[in-house]
Amino acid sequence: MVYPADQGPKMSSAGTNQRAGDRTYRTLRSDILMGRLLPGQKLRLDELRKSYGASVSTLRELLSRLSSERLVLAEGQKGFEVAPVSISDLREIAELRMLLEVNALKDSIANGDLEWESRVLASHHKLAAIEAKRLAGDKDDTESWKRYDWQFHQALISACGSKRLMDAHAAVFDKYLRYQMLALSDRGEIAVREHEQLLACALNRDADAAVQVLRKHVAGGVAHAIANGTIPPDNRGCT
Amino acid sequence: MSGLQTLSEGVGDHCYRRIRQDIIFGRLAPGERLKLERMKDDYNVSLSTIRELLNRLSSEGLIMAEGRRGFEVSPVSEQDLRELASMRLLLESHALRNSFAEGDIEWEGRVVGAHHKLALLERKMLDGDHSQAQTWKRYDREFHHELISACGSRALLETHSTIYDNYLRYQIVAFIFRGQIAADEHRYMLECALKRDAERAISVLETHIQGCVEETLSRGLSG
Repeated sequence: MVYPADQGPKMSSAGTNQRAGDRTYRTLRSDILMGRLLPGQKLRLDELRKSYGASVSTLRELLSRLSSERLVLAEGQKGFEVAPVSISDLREIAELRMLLEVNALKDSIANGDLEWESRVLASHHKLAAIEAKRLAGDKDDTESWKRYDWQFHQALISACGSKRLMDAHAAVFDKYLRYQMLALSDRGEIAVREHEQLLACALNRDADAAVQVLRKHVAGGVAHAIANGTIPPDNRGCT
Repeated sequence: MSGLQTLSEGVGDHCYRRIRQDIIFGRLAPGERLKLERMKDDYNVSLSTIRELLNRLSSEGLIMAEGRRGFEVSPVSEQDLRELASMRLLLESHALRNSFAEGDIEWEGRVVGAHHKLALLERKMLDGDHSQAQTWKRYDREFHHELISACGSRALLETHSTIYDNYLRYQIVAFIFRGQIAADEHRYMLECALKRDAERAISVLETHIQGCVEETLSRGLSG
């Protein structure tokens, strides 16, 4: 599944452009984030050409764009591969997410107007609906669930007033999301309750309490993903 | 085939750095429309390479991709400068704290070395010699980078570096040299680093960035 053009991770700059290259870019990016292309997997241009229906030169262009986002590694003449994962990288990403999201959350709770409250409520409503389905045992639509999770967290910080902060947060959140998809991390009821608490704190304009819940939420998510055992400790020779 | 590819990657990377520098140092002006055909000739690379590089630069925020209409250098605005400045302070403060806590003697050596080069260029600038302004800006960047280089997070350093370069562009556009004040602030930050006094370094950094933003805005962004 691919995100609709106006939803999901990193859609801010998509606009109305329907160029085939942009579509392929979004598909490739989503395939990496959702774990359909696995960490370390070699990306051979002739194979990608067949499965994505794009020319080799377009693909080279897109892969180098993804490599500047660190979702793909360009390895000189050896070609491209999906960026590897490691626990130490996950910790870095989670820490950066916290730094950005905590800051944005405080500003957003301070500045948010009625429109913001309405966006937060609406996005929580959708997330809660799919969470209820999952708790009842229907876990088919993991990607929608993660998308709604993304949208809820994004709505919470959407009144922070800084496009630069939102963009940087979106980029790091996508990388965090990839780890969650790889570890198939689902903390069930605990995460559901944390989302409810975040919603309540936002509507009560209690930024300090919201930050506390968010810290617990992310720390819990990281611990859960690591405990699952699918992510290698470290694959980096140097920093 | 693979030989050709390697060659074109090398050329692409080189050209990427050139275009990036040209944007940061204002040779490509804010809001300037980038005509692919002309860029191809100016930078002497193929059309598809140019497209690839401009897409990369647009994901860093230095260029705007405008759908079918092509590319333009990102415009500048007071709001954007203020956003960049607070992002820089947020990321750099956090990284400073970790770096001061973790930095070893090698790190101290890098910081001292980077400050030495910066201080020399600052003295030249103070004496009225502006011939190496670009080198001075590079040393400024290197000094701030070394201060946070022991923070232990590549993700943080990369995000900081992108924000820093976007921020740097504003100083070039308005050609900001605050003379003795900024030089003193750099020296304070060096002293704080060696004393591992992160909190004081952060407050100096805050003054440093605020001063720079106000100076930039007072000169006007159109220059």
